[in-house]
Amino acid sequence: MSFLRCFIPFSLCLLILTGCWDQNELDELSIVMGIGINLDEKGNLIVTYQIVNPTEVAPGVSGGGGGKQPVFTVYETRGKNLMEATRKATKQTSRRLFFAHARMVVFSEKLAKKNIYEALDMMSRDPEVRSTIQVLIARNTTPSKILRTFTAIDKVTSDEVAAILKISEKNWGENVQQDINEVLQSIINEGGEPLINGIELTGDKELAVTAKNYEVGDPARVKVSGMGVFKNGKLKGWLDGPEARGILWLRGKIASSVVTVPCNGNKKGYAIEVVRSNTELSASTKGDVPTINVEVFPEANIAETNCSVNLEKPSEIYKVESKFNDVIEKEIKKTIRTAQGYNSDVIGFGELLYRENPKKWNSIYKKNYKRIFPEIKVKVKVDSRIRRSGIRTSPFLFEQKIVNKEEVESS
Amino acid sequence: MKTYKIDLQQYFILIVLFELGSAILVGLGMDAGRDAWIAILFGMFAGMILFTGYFFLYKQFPEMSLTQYVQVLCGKFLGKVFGFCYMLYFLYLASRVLRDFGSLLLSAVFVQTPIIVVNTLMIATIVYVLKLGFEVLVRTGEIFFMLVALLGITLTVLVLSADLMEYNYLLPIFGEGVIPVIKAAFPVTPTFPFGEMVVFTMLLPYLKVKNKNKAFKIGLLGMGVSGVVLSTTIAMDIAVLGGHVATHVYFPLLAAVAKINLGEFIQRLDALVVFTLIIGGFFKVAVFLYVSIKAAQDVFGVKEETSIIGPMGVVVILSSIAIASNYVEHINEGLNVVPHFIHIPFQVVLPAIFIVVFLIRKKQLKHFASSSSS
Repeated sequence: MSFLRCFIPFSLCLLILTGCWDQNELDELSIVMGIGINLDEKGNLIVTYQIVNPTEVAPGVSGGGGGKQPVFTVYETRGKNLMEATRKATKQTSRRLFFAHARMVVFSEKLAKKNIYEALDMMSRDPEVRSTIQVLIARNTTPSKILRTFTAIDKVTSDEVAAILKISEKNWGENVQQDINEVLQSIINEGGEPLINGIELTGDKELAVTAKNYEVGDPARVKVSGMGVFKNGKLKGWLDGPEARGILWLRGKIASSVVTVPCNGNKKGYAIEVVRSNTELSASTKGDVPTINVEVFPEANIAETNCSVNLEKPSEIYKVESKFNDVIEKEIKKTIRTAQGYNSDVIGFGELLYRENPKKWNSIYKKNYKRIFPEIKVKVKVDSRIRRSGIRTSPFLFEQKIVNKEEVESS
Repeated sequence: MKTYKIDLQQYFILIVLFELGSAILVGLGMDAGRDAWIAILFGMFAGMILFTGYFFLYKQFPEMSLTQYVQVLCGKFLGKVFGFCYMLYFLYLASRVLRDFGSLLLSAVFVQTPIIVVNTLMIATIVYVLKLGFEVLVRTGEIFFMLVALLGITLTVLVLSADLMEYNYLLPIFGEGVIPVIKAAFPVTPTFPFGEMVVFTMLLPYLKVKNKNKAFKIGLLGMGVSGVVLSTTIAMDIAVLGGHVATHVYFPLLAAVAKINLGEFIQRLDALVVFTLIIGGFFKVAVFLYVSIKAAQDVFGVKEETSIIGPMGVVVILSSIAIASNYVEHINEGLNVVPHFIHIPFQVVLPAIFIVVFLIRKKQLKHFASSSSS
């Protein structure tokens, strides 16, 4: 009797507590790392899934052999919308697609030019997709090619891309990590438009999709490339190079970067390494067309000097500072001009105006923002500080008194 | 009657856990957009005024719960009718919170699980705890409080150190003027969760006698602490996610915490948030269920409270399923119907009437009070 009294509650506990209705066994799941979305001729979605092959990613577990199979495999389905395509994929997969580890979603340029809004909803609605998923646009290639590319360091392409985005934002500053929530928020922001990183394929494109790509020293690679400018949900153009960095200067997101500054007529004279930077935006909303003041305060070091200057003189440093200021100012102005040319407020001026003067924004600016934005006057002021010059004082060029012929002519 | 008496610390914990309960997870005052955190503070102050009223009644009848002194104030019959209404009200709130909890858990984690399974497991645990008595609930609360505080502090530190906050998302303050914020705040935020302090009209008599004088201050302190915590949490959610996303997800906190990623190592902490959700949901449903059991006891003269815990639990499970056919309907009722037509009568109008009745019948009642205590 007492045995039964113990046994029954315990077996009940076993029934209730051990299982879980929504159990997901690891060996019944296909872990999706990347999603690619393209359009076919009829306007249906072509969806590509990059799925990790777990035994190959961690070869140690399965005896260290590995190498026989690729680390990932790719499925492709078509559907009227994203969810339909996803479930259709089960016709090809032996395991259910599992999205919690997806690192990136890549849209094709074709889709982006038509309308990017369509596929965003499911991503932000499905509880399985993490909001940290990065959004990208395949530039001059298709998402399916990107997801099929074998990458050398992080074996799974999507992992590699997510890492590239992060590292490149921190060290070079021509792209901003944009996850799904940030994209949605930038669409909703007052007058705002999204700005989405581009990704392209470089090198031998035929080789990229074969495992041989691992074996060559100079394989085809994926490369983060520019940021796509949108207007009303449609891709209008790209910001590249310094123009893209201008966005980060304006948003105060520059963590570190390198700026080339002329020196005694040598256009490539200095490499200035930015170590931190701060940006202050303010707006004057007196007239019909507002004026925006941008103040940037970078702190930097001299990382390279390819001309003959005496860096032990403080006045030289001040000269470098003022040239450095000019370069950044030009970058920022160019970015603003380009954005105004596209008439797409990717910088976030609308939000700024709303913050500064919500009443006027709601009553005047908001309605005419498409007309006002290209006319906004922007005053840019850069006030940089150059702190150090590495572990050397003057460059050896100065010590040797080697003077470039061109420099003499120009100076 | 030998009952378990709680001290001030337990009372404080009870208030904070109850107030934070489910409110910390669902977006409060979100109609105010990026000013939602201010709407919550407005709600808190309004809630404190309500609490003052409840405490006034308690002061007059320090030994009695609401459903008991109503019978003194309004006569036996009318008092029982009011008591019965309050019992239904508390039961309804228990089912509402249970439904909130179940739906949110389902939409975030257990997509394929039927809601009745989740709700039944929850009620089974609650019934078990309540069978062991109020004391066990309060002490469970003490342990949970530590956990919730620890989780809260950890998550806040992590969000801060992950540098996710964009303070500009919170500006401008009062961008659309003060009116929309007040509109968003009233009547929803004072009634949920602050006005729900009305349950403490049933629980205040459990305070130890020596603590009665400090109880008012501690009560306000508890509300203040939970109000500030709620407000900062929502502000944090908005700063992390942006005004649009924060107001358009069912769980702002879950979405905000999911963004934490420290060195590709500390990440995917949403499980911790689900954990707080379960603790909060458990405690809130338990308190409502317990209070409605007490009310039923007073109205129907049930001697042993343990005998009706199980049946009441079943009622809560069933009504939590039956009150709405889908989540949108449920939320819609919660925002547009319940505050106006259910919360306000039970939290504001009826207590106000009781106070008025008390003031009118003060002399008669004094006589009653002195005769009953002697």
